[in-house]
Amino acid sequence: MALTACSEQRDAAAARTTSVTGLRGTPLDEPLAKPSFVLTRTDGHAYDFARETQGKVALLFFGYTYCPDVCPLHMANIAAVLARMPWEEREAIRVVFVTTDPERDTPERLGTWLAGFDPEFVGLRGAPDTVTAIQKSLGLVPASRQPNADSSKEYLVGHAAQVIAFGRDNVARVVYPFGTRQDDWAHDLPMLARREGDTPAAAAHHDTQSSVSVLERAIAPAVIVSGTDSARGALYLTIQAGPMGDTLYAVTPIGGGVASLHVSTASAGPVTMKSTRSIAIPAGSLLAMQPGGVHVMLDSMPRRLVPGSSIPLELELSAGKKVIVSGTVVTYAELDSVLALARAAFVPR
Amino acid sequence: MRWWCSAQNTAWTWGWRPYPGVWLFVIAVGFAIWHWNRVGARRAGNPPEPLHPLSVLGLLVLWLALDWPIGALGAGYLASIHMLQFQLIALIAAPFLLRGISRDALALLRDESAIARLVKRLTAPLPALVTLNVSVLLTHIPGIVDSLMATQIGSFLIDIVWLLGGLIFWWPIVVSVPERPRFVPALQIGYLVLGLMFSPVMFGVSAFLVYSQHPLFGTYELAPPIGALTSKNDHVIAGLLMSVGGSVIAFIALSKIFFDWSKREG
Repeated sequence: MALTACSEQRDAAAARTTSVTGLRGTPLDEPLAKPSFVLTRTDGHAYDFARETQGKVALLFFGYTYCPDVCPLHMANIAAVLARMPWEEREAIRVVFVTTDPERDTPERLGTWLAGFDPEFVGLRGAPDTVTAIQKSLGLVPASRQPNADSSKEYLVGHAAQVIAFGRDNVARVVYPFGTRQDDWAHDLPMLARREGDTPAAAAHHDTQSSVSVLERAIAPAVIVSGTDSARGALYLTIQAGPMGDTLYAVTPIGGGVASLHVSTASAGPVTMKSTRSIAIPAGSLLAMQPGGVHVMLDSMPRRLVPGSSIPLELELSAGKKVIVSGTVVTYAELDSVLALARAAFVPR
Repeated sequence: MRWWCSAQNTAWTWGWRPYPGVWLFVIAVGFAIWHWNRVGARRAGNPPEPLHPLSVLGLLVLWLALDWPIGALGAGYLASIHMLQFQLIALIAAPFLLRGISRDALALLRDESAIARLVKRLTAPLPALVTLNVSVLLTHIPGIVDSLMATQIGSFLIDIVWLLGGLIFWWPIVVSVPERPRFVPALQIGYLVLGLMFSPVMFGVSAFLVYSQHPLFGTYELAPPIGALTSKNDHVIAGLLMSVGGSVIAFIALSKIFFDWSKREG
């Protein structure tokens, strides 16, 4: 994923050609599951990204209002195209802008700046560590402030230049780098709104599966820990069950590999690990996987689990409901802090 | 340091930037006129004349159009300023520069040399009309503009095409050599009306700029924004400028032709 230091580097190549999806956006090597995170809107209210954008096309972008080029251009071009779209299609699209410069992007400034493009655009703020964790979970290089020797207030923030487009099936298959023109947006946004970018299976199952499942539970970002360059790892999930309770039956890495549910016990002797067919989550309770407890073992992954990368996973829960989540690969040294961050972003309902 | 203005991937600032290629080019154009006049005067046995004030004005307009800030804004930030550049170079600077060519210098074109024959053919009204319109069309095709404006040499090429197109277009109106007795004032007025006021090419480009759903030129659509002007509105202004600006300039020129004609006849 490209990182741009605003006004220094730009993704020159516009996505002018159509991919196998028929979209002009740049196809991702592997589909990206919609992350689950909660940040603060410019009006001060919490915004649960996964829940608020459920069943909608979500255009997610990380930037800042003082950005001299990439951010205002992306927002202006998307707004210009949305303004010309019919209401039914436009209503199916959410634009979410997460600031990477919360110090200067006050809620007032962020809100006013976004409203200048489109009052419907959602501006989100969060603690820098949380925003960093979200970017990492999406495989983005986290934004970084570029020091300015002349002024502590006037600085640039290097940040990913692409807009990630999650389809209505909660999976991103394309991103839109800097250089994407209005013509490209006008081609792709109606297609995304009409689910033409979704896989046939996902589009067909949308109403009966994923939308229902997320409403009934909350899932924090998944964390995968792995040794250096290993194709094996341990996955930790945090799931808040709804009022009916829930059961986790299976985890399937979308790009290939094997996942198995495990329970570790350490009572009266050394830690032992045994596989289990399912994990029950009582009504209203929290399943918080952690080292030495319940976890998921990943094996025979098609690619080495490189820290910083993300792996889309499909969870099979009660009544055959399936949810796609994104797992971020971290090192053992990072595990505790990243797990804490992931849970900090988690708001049980 | 850059020698000519071209599109850059940096945010616009009002900090002055030097473009030495522009200075050298304007000086070279001025020198060419001065030298031509000097050679013409020597051949005619007359003392050399100073540059005509309108010619100096033409050089000044040319410099303003090519140098910072207009040149830099037009090359990589605003389509409307790019259009202003076109008007300044092809429609204002060009006729003024032609006014600076002395009678003695023009007399050099009365012989049957290859250059004289080429000038005569190129500056005949119909070829001149076609030349300007083709140059306008070619230099406003999105793919060409986006490719050329990204480099200094490409941007230079567009500016040169505009200047040459303007010089050729205005030649039969401003310059009396070669003599064209059948190109009477009424026809000159028609020439300006057809070439600038109701040119199908200019109207077409203008209409595309104003009415296209999305901005035509990627260079300006993806340029770091300046103020609150959207790229679409910038393109609309560019289209209006092409249509209205060309008409205004044509109106001024044909008015002068008309009143000079009336004075002569009356």
